[in-house]
Amino acid sequence: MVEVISLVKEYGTFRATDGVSFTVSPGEIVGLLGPNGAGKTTVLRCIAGILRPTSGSVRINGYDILSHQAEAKARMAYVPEVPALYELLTVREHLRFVAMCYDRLDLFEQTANELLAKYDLVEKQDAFVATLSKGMKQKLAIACAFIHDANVLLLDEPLIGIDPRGAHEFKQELLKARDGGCAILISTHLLDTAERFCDRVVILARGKNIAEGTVQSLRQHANLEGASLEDVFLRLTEEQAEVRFDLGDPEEPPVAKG
Amino acid sequence: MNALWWLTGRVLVNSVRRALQSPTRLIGVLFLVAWWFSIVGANFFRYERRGAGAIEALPSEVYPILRLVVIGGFLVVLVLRLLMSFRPPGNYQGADADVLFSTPVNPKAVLLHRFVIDYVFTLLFPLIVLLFGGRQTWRGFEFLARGVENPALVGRMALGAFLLLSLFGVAASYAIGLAINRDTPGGRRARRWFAILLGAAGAYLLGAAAGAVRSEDSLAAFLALADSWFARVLLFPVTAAADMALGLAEGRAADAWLGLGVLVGGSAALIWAARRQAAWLYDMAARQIGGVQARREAQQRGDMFSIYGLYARQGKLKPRRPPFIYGWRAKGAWAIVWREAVLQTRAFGAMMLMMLVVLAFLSALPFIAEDERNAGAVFFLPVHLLMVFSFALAVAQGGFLETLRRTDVQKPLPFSMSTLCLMDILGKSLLPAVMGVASGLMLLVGMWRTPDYGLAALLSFPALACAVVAVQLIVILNFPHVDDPTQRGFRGMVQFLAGAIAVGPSVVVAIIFALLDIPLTFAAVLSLLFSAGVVGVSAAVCGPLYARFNPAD
Repeated sequence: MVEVISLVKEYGTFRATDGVSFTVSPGEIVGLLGPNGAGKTTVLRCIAGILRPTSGSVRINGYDILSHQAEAKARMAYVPEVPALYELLTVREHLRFVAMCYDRLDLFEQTANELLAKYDLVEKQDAFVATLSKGMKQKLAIACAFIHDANVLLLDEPLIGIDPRGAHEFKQELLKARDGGCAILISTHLLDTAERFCDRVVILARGKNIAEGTVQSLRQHANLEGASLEDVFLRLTEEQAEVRFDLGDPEEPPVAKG
Repeated sequence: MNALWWLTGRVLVNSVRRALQSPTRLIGVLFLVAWWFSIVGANFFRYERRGAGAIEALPSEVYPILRLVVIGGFLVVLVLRLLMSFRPPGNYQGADADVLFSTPVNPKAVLLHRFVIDYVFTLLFPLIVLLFGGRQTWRGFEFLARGVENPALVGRMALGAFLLLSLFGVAASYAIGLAINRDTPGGRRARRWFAILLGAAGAYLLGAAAGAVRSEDSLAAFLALADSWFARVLLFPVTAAADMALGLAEGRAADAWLGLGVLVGGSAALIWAARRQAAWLYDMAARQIGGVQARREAQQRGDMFSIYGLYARQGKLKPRRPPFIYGWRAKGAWAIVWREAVLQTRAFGAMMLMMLVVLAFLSALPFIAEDERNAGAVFFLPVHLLMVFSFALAVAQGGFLETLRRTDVQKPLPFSMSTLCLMDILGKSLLPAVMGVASGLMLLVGMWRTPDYGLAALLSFPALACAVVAVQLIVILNFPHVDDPTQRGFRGMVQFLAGAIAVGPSVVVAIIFALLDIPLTFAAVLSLLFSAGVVGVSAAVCGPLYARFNPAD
């Protein structure tokens, strides 16, 4: 489970995220949407423990990311948008390094073989990461996320650069993980994918979450019944209101939180 | 921790493997090995015992001088490390942020791992000196320890002093770096105060050193400075290390052991302080990684404009609008010169100002040295020319990479390719020419007893700067692939050569005129005409080359 509470992150005098709050429950896929520069990547990096929040808190599986880093990260995996990997490791060594970090070498050989096969990396397993194409690197980053038994997945635009087959495999893997009780937070610009794939979405604009709920509840709020998520997104981000709407239940009217 | 050392080991092994896989890299490795054996190795192995044992004991009056040398050396070691506090401790790459930082590996373990690597790298410096100096360096050490009661112990203490001072320096840079690089108001305040403290200490030290140089007994003044409250309190790690290194040889055993205690205790306290702040490490490293990587790549390409672009994105570069440029209403192709004037001022203005300060100092030297006959002029003229040449080269290299990158914007403009090239050359020559004028004026004022030199510089330097810039465009259009390391390396060599060819005839003519006692001003006029010809011919040659250039190739 992921709990983000009043998250603020400032870079110098620039406030990248401003009081963002949401949760991702076990067995749920939540889409993190927003225009460029809305603060999605900053939110994900704060949750992943890479950036330190200026204020507010992040809890993973009940552990605070600052005070209990190791426990919070033990069952979490993060896939960045354009993953920078260790170029001088081979593909297999890279997986091994990640397994070592999570202290999961016991089942490494079997898990690694399965992942390499699933993401078409068997032939490249002894090649340097530096020699991989952009898509291959993305696949390796995804494979690294599944090398340990993660129950929280943080994915920043994970489908960019992946071929259709790889994307399909990945989606199947995510659905399997969700059904197995995994909490998944996925940042994406692919609104049709988010619409079909996510149980809920959180929309950020200018560092604030301006709307949160199921796609159906967002439609109701935007008075766009039957419209696509794209239309809803455009309407809501155009408004860029200072008001945050919590749209938990599609049957209930949204609650303005000021 | 095991995972981190495993990673380090694999990266080292794989980098060797990779070097042996690619023919181009293999050639580089073979060249390096051959170079080591031919130059460094030869120096190391061809040690002759000639003269060894000629002096039995080190004269006692040498020790104070030795102490000053040791303090000076240790001061450099410490200051270099302290300056590194201004960036997050340790070297990190993108993969660290994207892969390592989100794993449960304890930040304290990561900190310690980088600390050890940093410390080992710090120790490599004396090793390199030893490699270059070979056995001669070792002989020097033997010579210094000669006549001392227990040379082995003295040697160990001296080596230990260096090792411990380096440890102290690395630990201090980690502890301070983690405190002053936090993106918080407190962190920014601490950074400012640390910079002020360091600057004030440096200014005091420089002032005191200048005073010592001017005093009648400089050695005594320097020794007093080394023993002053300033050195004992603010530079305590340096004096402790010097005491440790020389105390036994000077008969001050207690000071030597106290120095050891101070360094060990201080290092332990600083490592503890750094470990206490480890939770801040990921945040500051992650914030820096993106910028540092992009800057490194741009530096590798020699692409100064990309670096300034990065600075602009980080808010470090302000869009200055000099009124003398904005007031110019350029028309037609001259707009390219105007654009370059704006860009060059923003990108290279600060560099030019720094170089001008150095040149002003050089020009003032004849006054400081009270050189009645202006004998230094012969020295200052080529130094000034070299500075103008270097600046023109730097501006052209960075600027013309930008020309290649902006081909799609520039080529559609309604001018012939030769006109485009000529205007680009003139635009990129603006700042180097201004520097040439400034340099000439400085020489004219600084060497007022021999105005011929200054006048010659004033006439020829701006034109030579333009010629240097112009020939760079020919080179860059012949080797236009910025990301190809082979072309990059070759281009670097040829650019220097081309610049030398553009300047060479003028220099030769100047030397001949000087030898024949003909005023250099006449040589400068010839140089001006020749340089103008170089610019014109370069623009004509570059036109067709630029027309054929396709960035997608």
